Amino acid sequence: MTDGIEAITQTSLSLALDAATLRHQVIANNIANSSAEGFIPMQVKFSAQMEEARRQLSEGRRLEQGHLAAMAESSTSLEPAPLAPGLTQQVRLDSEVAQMAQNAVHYQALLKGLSRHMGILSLAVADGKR
Amino acid sequence: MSEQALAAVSAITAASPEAAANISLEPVGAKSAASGAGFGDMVTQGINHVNQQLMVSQTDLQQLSVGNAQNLHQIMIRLEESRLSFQLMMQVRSRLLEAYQDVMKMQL
Amino acid sequence: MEYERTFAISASGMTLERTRVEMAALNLANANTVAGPDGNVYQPRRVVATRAFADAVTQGLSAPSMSLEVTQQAPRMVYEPGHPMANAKGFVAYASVDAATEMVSLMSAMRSYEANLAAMTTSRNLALKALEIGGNQ
Repeated sequence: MTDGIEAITQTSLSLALDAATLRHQVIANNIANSSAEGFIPMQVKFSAQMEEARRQLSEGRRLEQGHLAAMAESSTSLEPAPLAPGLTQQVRLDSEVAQMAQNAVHYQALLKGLSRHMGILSLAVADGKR
Repeated sequence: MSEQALAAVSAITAASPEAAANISLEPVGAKSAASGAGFGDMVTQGINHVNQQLMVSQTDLQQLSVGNAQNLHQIMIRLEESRLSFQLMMQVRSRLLEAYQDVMKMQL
Repeated sequence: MEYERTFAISASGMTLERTRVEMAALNLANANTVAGPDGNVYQPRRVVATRAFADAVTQGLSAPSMSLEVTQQAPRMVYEPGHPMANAKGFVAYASVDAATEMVSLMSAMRSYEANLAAMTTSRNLALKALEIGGNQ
């Protein structure tokens, strides 16, 4: 409850929501340009610092201020999607739609988590009364 | 949860006017409360437990935000558990305060 | 295993099945092609997904590792004396594409694709149901 842990959780959740929104836009763009000749599908860049944040969390420690900068960076930058072996670089509608379904579920999970988190905080603020 | 429930029950009985004199009331068959531990220790223990649960749910939410969540249902269950424990702690606190005010208003 | 990995697993299964459909279509389209002047005839292609596919899928890689193998089959010799590509004995070398085999692989790929889709829909519904734990507050 100390060390501003709630603030970090809240910021990381909202940054993750930003990233999910950007990913949705990128997938929508890929689908819209699926029949365009020479279009290269894009994806949201996943930075190495995010991997570091993941590792730290799985070791039982919590996120720190420095990881939030990495999350903010990864929720704004794009890169071309990696080339699958033996396949040509083109938009595959079904995999894009699959990614979109996954992203939608992830967005809803983040949103639910954030609203539950806010619910606990508002419980504390309202002194136990609803 | 059982620890909090126990703490809540013993808090209410301990705070009732008859038992007000005997502050260090020990619940029967309580495993969590160390023998001889005072009521204050029990409350501290309960609060620490609630705090622990809240911390765990915070870590879960951070895991979810970096996309490393193992599964959703456990996160949601732990979040709900921590919310309920927190709510229970608030209720126990307000009951305790009510009981205290009742005692203070008692005509002697 | 993260909950999002089930989506990646189903998606890579769908990619594999779609590639099988593409290859069956390619083979069927080339069923009636004859050998060119160099004597080379179209060889039907097969999609091969080995154990590495399962490993990649469980690691959550979105790009499944599969290979396209070109089969080595003798051309189908059909007696058509009047054909411009007929040899001295009047035989024409056609691509050895078996239409029945291709249709069967087309159907099985479609059924597997549907199964993958059902798995993905189920895992999506499961995740959404898990979010309802605790009800609305």
